[in-house]
Amino acid sequence: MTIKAREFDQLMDKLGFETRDSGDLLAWFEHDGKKVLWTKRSKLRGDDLPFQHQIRQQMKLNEDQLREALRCRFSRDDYVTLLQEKGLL
Amino acid sequence: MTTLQIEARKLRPGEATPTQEPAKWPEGALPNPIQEATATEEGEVKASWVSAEAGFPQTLAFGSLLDDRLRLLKPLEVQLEQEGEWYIARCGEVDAFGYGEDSFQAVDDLRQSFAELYWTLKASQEQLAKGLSSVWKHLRELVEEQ
Repeated sequence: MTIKAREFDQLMDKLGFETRDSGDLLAWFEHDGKKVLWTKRSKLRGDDLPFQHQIRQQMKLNEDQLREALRCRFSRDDYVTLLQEKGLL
Repeated sequence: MTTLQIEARKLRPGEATPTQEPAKWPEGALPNPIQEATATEEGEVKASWVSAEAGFPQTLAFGSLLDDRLRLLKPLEVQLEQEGEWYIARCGEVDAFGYGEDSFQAVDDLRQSFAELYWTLKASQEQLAKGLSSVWKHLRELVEEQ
């Protein structure tokens, strides 16, 4: 599967990541006032994002979960539950 | 794969030349684009080469960051991969990656990310969830501020 830059940005927005421009676009996920994880996307030209495997890994999502998230079937609450199950919260 | 790590020090004025033999170059190991060599202000040079014959993924190490305020206390191991036209340098120890059009750029981008991660976690060290708290603890063991 491929992710487009705008899909990534929409996902960050939906899951409530805080983004910051630092050459790349850095995105931090916070819950209950605590930083939980981070990822980044390149601002390279082109539509499809490279390094999707690394992005997925940093977001702690498998391919199916990322697909569901991109289809808007995965809410911030679902994401928090998933991170709790993984022992990150 | 062959990885050769070299640490050298610039001689101070008047200091005698060391008499030891220079490091032997492993057969097949070439200073290819994965070469990493950095001189610090003190004149220390740390370098790593990975054999040119190895495919991907490759492992290499770097000994400094792209931030003069930070010093690595030990070389950091990095996995170098290729994805299409891009090179990716990944550090599993802190779950960070860098990328670039060649391995140099990928490693430099990772070094940048590493420093970025350090300062961000330091600024939020009282507000880190379990995962990042472990990363911060590990970073403090790897990095020294100077």
